Amino acid sequence: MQSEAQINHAVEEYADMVKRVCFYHLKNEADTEDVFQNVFLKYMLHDEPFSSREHEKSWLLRVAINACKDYLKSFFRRSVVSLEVLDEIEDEERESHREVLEAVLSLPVKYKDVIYLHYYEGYTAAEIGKIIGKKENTVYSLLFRGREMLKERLGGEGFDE
Amino acid sequence: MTNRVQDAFSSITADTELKESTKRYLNKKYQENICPRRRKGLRLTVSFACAVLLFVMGAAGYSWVQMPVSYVSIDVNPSIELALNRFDRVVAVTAYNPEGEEIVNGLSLKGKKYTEAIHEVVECDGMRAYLSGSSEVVLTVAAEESREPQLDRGVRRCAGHMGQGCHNACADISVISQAHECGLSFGKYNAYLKLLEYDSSITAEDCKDMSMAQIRELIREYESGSQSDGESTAIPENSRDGNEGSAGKDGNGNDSGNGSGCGNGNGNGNGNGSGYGNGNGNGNYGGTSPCKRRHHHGNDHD
Repeated sequence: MQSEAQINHAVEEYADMVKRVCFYHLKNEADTEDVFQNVFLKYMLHDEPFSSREHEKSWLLRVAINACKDYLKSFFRRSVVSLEVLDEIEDEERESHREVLEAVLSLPVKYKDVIYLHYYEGYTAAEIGKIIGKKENTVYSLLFRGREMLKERLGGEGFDE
Repeated sequence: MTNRVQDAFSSITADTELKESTKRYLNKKYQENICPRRRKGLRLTVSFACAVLLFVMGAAGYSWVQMPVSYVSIDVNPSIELALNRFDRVVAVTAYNPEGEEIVNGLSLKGKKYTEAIHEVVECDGMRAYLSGSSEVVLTVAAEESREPQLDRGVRRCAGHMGQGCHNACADISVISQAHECGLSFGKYNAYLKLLEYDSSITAEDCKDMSMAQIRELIREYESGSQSDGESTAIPENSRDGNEGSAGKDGNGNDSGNGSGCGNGNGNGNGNGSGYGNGNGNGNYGGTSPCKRRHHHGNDHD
């Protein structure tokens, strides 16, 4: 089990990251809070030490993604996708980012993961493969198709690798 | 576009409220996770204690049910003792001589009502051989005072069913341990005690090899003897004291009615050499027959 200080530090350090993963998977704030707390609970109960901060970060990402997927799998949570999460973003920000976020949220789950991990967290295809448990080549094709879909939805403006 | 995606995601942050509530939640869980070792230990202790308690109660109940509180002794020549629990069911069967053992081996009496068990013992094939015309079955009951009348009634009924040659008696429950020390069933021991009243030299060892019919016969003789002729009872004492070793030969002299005894020192090999005399004038039959039988049994054992 991690120490109390480690736990508090991890919450401060990775809260935004975990929140984002929850955000693009889940549909409302209540679900997000559930999963969010659950992820850090798993972190707390994790017995083995992390070899590096990078290791810790990718571990948390993997746990967060799996926790979200597990949460969505539980049958009583299977409801239609709502974009309720978007309403919680601050007003002025919402305006500028709504379009992009809506586009990302409307992607199938497997594309959302790679898009987020690649474009926001800056992971390479190989690293993403490790986190989500897929082959590097699979990640490449997911990235490619995901980008295509985003281009289509956002009017195809300058999507770089 | 990369920037647009990045910016869009950057706008999503965990608010302080979420962080704080998560910390509170984790802190609570953290305490629970540190304590549970103690709590788990407590739970384990409690469940263990429950299990032990249950086991002890079960064991106590079982021993309560299985504890013998009264006894019925069946003696012909085979001596069998039935130990009964509070519900008058047989919980243990003990044979006190090889003949009894033979009979007991062929029967399963445990758990049966005592009347049923008595019937079964008396009517089994092994017992039939001992139930000839002159034999006597003695059913002896030993129980606490409160239970004795009821048991006695039941045994009496059994005895009544079996007809002639079946007697019943009651023994003091304190006699049992003494009887078992001597290796006798208490039924036989009870009879031995009665015999001892008339003949202080008789030992439990002697009775061991005698059948109940023989013992009772002797008692009857003493009883009738003491009633009819006070003097003659004293005579056998003399004769026995005088010639222990040759008492067997003197058996012939019973005809004379002088109360010579019959010895049994040779027969069973234990060499106690005590003899039984019959003081009444015409008691030749009673005097000789125990000896003969006695010898017979003695050989069997050897």
